[in-house]
Amino acid sequence: MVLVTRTSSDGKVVTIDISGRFDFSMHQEFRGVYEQAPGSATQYIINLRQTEYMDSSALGMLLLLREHAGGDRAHIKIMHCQHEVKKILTIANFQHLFCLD
Amino acid sequence: MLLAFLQAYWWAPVVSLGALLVQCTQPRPEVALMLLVLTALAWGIPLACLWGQTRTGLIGCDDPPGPFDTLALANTPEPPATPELPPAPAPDVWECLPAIRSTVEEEVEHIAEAVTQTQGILRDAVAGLHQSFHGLYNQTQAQHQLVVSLMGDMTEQTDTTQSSHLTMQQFTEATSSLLQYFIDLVVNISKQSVETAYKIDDMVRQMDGIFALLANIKTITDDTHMLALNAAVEAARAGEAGRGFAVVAAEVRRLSQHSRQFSERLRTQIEELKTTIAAVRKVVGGVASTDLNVSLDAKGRVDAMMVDIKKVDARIAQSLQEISTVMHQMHTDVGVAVRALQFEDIISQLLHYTEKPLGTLRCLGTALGEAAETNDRTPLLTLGTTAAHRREEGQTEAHKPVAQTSMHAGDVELF
Repeated sequence: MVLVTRTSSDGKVVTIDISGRFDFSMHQEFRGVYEQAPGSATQYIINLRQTEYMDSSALGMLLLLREHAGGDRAHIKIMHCQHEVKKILTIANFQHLFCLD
Repeated sequence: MLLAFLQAYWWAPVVSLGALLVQCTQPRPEVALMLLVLTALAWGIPLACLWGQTRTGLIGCDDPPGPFDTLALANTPEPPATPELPPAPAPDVWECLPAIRSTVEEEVEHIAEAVTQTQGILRDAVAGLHQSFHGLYNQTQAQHQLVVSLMGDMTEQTDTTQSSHLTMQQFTEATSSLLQYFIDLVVNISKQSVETAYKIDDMVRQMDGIFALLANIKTITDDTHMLALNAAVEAARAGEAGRGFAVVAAEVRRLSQHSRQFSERLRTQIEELKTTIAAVRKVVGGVASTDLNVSLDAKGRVDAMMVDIKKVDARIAQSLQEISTVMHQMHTDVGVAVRALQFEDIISQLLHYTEKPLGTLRCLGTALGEAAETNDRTPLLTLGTTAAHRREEGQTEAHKPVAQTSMHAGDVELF
């Protein structure tokens, strides 16, 4: 499980690429990303193209990111989900809280 | 015919035979001539009579005139004011009359028996059919009621609060929403567990801060210890004047030792705390990590069940509709059958009306018998006249009591 962070030049968009298993073992890294992000960050993009597996702790992490980013005012996109991952996001009704691709 | 002729003129062959005998015994020409003349006379008279009768035309046809022909003759449109008695038929015809009478009576009885039997069988059979069809009718009614109530159950609205039983659809919907509730619960618990994990991380960080502080304390106590040693050395160098100072230095050394032990114990405690917290984080991690695939499968199965149930519901509703149509048709068909059973009335009437013709035939038999016994034609002629009258009356009104010839509904008249 690898996590790579990219920030846009103006510091407004933070992209997080996650590969492998997105589970509890990643929780410290994940938190580190958004806690260390510049204060001007207004948009987050979570790229799950390489994510093979997601469990409920990943969902919890995403929800906490959303809270950190302002709750209902947050702009978080979850992109390039694989089929199984998309199913999990759907049954958790994440389509109402995040932009799902 | 030859036999009749011989019976009537029997003496002609006898005379000729006698003549032949005489001729044989007394072969004399005068006698022979006389006998020849006699024989010619004997044969000539019957032949002459025969020739005469043939001229008038009474004898010479193949059949002797029967009693029916006499009747027919009597029934032809003649003025009934002058009933002319036709010449008496040959005596041998009279002898046939008893046979004819008994035949007529027998056959009439046979026909009457058959008619009665038919009526009886018809009545019983139709009664049975009536009962059966009414039973069938009632059964279709009952069936229809069941179907209607079943349809009512299937298409029950979800907002009826009085309904005590749950439809399959309501049950599946309840299951689906319950499943969703639990999934949401799991996700929420995971979120809170991850948050707990973050807080634990913060705690660990703070403990690392404490460790750093403890490290400082250790440095301080080490330095204090060193200082105390130095002080003791200085005190010794000062001699008598430094004795008081040496005591103080010793005390400081003791204190720094205590401090060191104390911070050592503190460090151990915090190490233990760290271990415990690591264990806690592991437990929290376990709580946070729920594999959602099971829930996913379950939800997917329930959703598929909902679709299937909708299909089954639709199929059942359609089938019930078809059953309803079929039963309606059965209903109509049973109605048609019951109406068709009305043929019994018609047939009964038809059979009943055979009594009149049979009665007439019986009268004929009786008349024939009377005629045979009394050797008198009058009863036969009376019968013929009566029949003629009745036929005339019959021609003016409808001859058949029942006009119906087919079983189409709508033409039926109930008697």
